[in-house]
Amino acid sequence: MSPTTQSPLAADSRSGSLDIAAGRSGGFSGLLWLTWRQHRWALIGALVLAAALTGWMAYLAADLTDIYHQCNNTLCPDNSVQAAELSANFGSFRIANDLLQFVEYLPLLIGMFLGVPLLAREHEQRTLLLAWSQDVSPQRWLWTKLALLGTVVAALTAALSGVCDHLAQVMADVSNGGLFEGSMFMDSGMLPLATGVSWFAVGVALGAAAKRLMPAAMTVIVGYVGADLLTQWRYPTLITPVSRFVPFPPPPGTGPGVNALKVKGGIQIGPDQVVNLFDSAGHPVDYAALSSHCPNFGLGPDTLTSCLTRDHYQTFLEYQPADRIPEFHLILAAGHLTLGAVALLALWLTVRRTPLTAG
Amino acid sequence: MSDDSIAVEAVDVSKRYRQVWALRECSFQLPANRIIALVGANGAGKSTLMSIISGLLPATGGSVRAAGRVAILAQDKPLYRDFSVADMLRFGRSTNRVWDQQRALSWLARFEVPLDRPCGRLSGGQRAQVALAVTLGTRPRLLLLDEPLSNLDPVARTEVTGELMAEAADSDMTVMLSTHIVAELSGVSDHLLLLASGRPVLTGDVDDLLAAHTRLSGPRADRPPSPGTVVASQHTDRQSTFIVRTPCTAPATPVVAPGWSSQPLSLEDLVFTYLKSSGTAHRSAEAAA
Repeated sequence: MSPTTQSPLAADSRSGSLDIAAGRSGGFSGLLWLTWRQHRWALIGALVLAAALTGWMAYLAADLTDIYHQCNNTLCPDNSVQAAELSANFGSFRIANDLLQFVEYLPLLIGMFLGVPLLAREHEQRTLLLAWSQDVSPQRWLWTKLALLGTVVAALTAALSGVCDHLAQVMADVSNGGLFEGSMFMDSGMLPLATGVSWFAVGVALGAAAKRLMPAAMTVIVGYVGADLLTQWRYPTLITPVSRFVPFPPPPGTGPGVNALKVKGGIQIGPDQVVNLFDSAGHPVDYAALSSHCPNFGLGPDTLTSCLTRDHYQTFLEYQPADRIPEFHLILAAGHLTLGAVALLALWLTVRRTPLTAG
Repeated sequence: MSDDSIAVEAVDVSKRYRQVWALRECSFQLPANRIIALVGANGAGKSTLMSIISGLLPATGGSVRAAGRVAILAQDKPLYRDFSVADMLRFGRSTNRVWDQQRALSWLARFEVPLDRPCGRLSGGQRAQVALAVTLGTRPRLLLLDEPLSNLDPVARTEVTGELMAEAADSDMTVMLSTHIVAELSGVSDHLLLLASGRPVLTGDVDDLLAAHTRLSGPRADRPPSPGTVVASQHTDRQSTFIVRTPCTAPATPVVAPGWSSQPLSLEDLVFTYLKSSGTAHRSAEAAA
């Protein structure tokens, strides 16, 4: 007699086709086959999409590099053929920009189509008892499948991250900056790898909790969009920005520099109010004071600039210098990976508490 | 019973879902190499007991031990709908340390189930055969089948029960099947475990149990005319009927007083009698509480 929970082996080998252990039955290769068989269409879809994106972006990067070389590795002059090509609606730059925006939402697709179905589909089709009542333990079944699918996700997003990073660098070259902003920032520095793996784990955890495909997928969408908006809003000040007063006109070398992220800067002059304008002593200047010192500032920007220069006005500038980009990437990647780790912990707890009964 | 002759031994097994007790202090021994019927009304705790025996569900209290490999087939006989039948067999081989492909194939061949057809396009009966083939392919020593015949038509039921009995006889396999339809068990099971309100109320070999019970009918009386435990009684103004469990020492045919007649019970009658009496006792206990 033996405890039921130990599933002891008590096989005889009278049958000629009996498979016993030794890697033939119930081993890693079996779970590899099962994972492939259950998720093959999602995996094929992911592979095709990743290959298409990688190839397309590599081609666009080569094209943009070529343009950059044609402009002698500097910003192309405004009226040049190359500048026109870069600003064309269906030119390489615009398409590359659109592709980077699409890649920014790839983790959402990964969560929905690779993460959520792992457990939610088993619950929905009532096959969880079938899967978990075999010799392979539920924990081994789950973590092996997670590892296999997670490895594929990591490999594909790593390849994409590499190409995206290269493309963003080239785009920054031809457009004189922007690496710290928008999709060019979010898709560079291996961030797609971190977000892809993280949201795969989040998708699995939400599928396990919701036990239904659609509610879990909807939650992934809402969660990802929310997290993306939160990141966009919060990331510029994750590290205290560099700040200083900048006189008019800014002396050479005092600007934030190429690829920096401007957090606060520039003056706003509106009806009866002036924002971010200071006198030479650093005191804020209001609309009345500006009107008194520069009565003709409304005539045009040149008049305003000459007045601001003459009276030594200043503006306050806050920015993140470009050399902080790797640090920011690291912080965001760590944030995403922490989210993924929390999701895995929640998944472990959820699975432990999942009741299994035959009825 | 020696260890080899016991398929399942339960000692004070209990299971509670929040405030509701599904099983309470169940203790029993079930013999090996038999077909055991687990009978009870809906909600009696049959599925819970099977899940605990299979190791899927932890018991709240007590312990269960089973001999050898345990396989369980759930009531809805789940399959991956997009898997072909051959894929399902490969699933069995991929997720079990022991797999008997020949046994699974021969079971499917007996019921002429096509191997290349997706499970989602099989009939209900064929799906049940595939689920059974996967379960049998794991070569369990103890096969737990929860309502195995519920989706099958009468012809398929007869075929499946017949083949299951043959499989059990050919291999050292104990089959435990649960049902609330007692008529399905006639001629199939040779051991009975009757659950009511989460407790075992009757267990033993079917033949022994039937031999030990008798229905006595006669003139109005407070007690039956022969020795034994009254399981149930029914009275009218002029007549009394007793279902009596005779002691082991009593003769097979009880001595019946003048005016009294004795009739054997069918398995169905026996089960209904116990279910009814345990239900009455349960309600009385609840009312007293």
